[in-house]
Amino acid sequence: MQNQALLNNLKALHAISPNQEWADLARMNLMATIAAEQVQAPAPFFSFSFSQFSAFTTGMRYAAMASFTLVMMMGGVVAASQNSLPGSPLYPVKLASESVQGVVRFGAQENTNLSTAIAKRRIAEVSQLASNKLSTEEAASLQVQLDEYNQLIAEVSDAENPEEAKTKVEEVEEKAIALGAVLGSATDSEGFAAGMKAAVEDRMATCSNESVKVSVAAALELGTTEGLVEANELSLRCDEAVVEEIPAPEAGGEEGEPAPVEGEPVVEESAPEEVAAPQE
Amino acid sequence: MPSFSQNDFIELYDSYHAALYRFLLLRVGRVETAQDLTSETFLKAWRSLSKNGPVAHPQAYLYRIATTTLADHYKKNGREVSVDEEFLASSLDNMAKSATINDFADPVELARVSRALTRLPDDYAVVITLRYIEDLAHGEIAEAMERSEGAVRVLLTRALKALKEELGEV
Repeated sequence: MQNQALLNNLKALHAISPNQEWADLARMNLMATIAAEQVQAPAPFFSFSFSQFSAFTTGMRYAAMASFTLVMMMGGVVAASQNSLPGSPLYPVKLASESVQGVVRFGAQENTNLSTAIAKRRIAEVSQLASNKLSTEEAASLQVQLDEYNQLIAEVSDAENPEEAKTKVEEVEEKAIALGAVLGSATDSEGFAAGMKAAVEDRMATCSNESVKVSVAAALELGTTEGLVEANELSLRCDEAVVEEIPAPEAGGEEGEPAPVEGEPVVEESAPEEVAAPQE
Repeated sequence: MPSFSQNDFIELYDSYHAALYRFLLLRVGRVETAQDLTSETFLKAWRSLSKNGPVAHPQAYLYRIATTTLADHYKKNGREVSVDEEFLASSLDNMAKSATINDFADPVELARVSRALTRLPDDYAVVITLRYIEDLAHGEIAEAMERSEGAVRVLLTRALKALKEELGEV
């Protein structure tokens, strides 16, 4: 073969091209893997490999790869859900993926750490939703409560009994979820206020603790974001005996005394008891 | 540092996946292996580019990753090259029908050249592939192979001589 003929043959090899079906599937696979890696530590993608399907026909190999891609695309959906907030269609996927994380962890401390991380995540979601949907002042009022949640988590995570700590952390998480649910379905401040009031009233409909009912009613009467947040917080404590220690709200406000519905005594008195409890 | 987005990656994949696949196929001789190695090359490229930002010459960069990916493959599986003859026949048939094939190319000779290429040492096959099949300039090849332009020219001369020997023409 003459030099020129050899070079022509080499140039002709440029026409070799991959199967388009493979090229498209490989692109999807890569994107799904990348999406999954962005929420987890990099996984060894090529545990899946075409050569593992060498006994298959080409059609079967593409079918196997397509199935794998489908699974990976689901991974992509999970990945895409990780930045979602309450109210988003992908938010349930995010919660479900966190449940799966809980299933694959075993140690008590590890479980507590995971619960703590998840609870903080819930609180951060509420904070983000508040800044998206509420006025600066309203968001700041809500943030006071969120800061208390974070403080409580920090306190209980030091507890010696990890399972007890986990329970406390999950209680905080539930409260944050309740706030997130209201904020997630609201479009603005008015929607948030109406949603909060409805949620509180729903809880009060099944609450038999008269003291709590009175305190909640007083907090709602304030008509402010602080009042709503406080009413919400109190309504979640219906079963807690400590609430009974709250002074009757009728005495508040007009006499110049600190309004009992502010709820400070509740937090001050209940938190240390709750932290001390795990010693058993 | 400029960032490298997923859209940049898609563009990179769409621009170079065929060239990378061709390059790898002509080294390993089997379609499935070339497909796996192509995907692996792009995944490695993503991990690096998304962390360190884009590079000036992405094509040369991809060939460098492909070459190391190929070396890893050899370490795990040995250097045995078994050309997928069924693929070669159908591929050459498609090429013969393709408007992109040049008038001077003979399918029988193409098959012979392809087989001979897979038998060449890596450096020789790489430099021939990049220069004559992918039509890269000497400077781009130098960057991809991390050598000087002068070294690439010398290598190319030796590689062509070796290819002719494989073809029984020297």
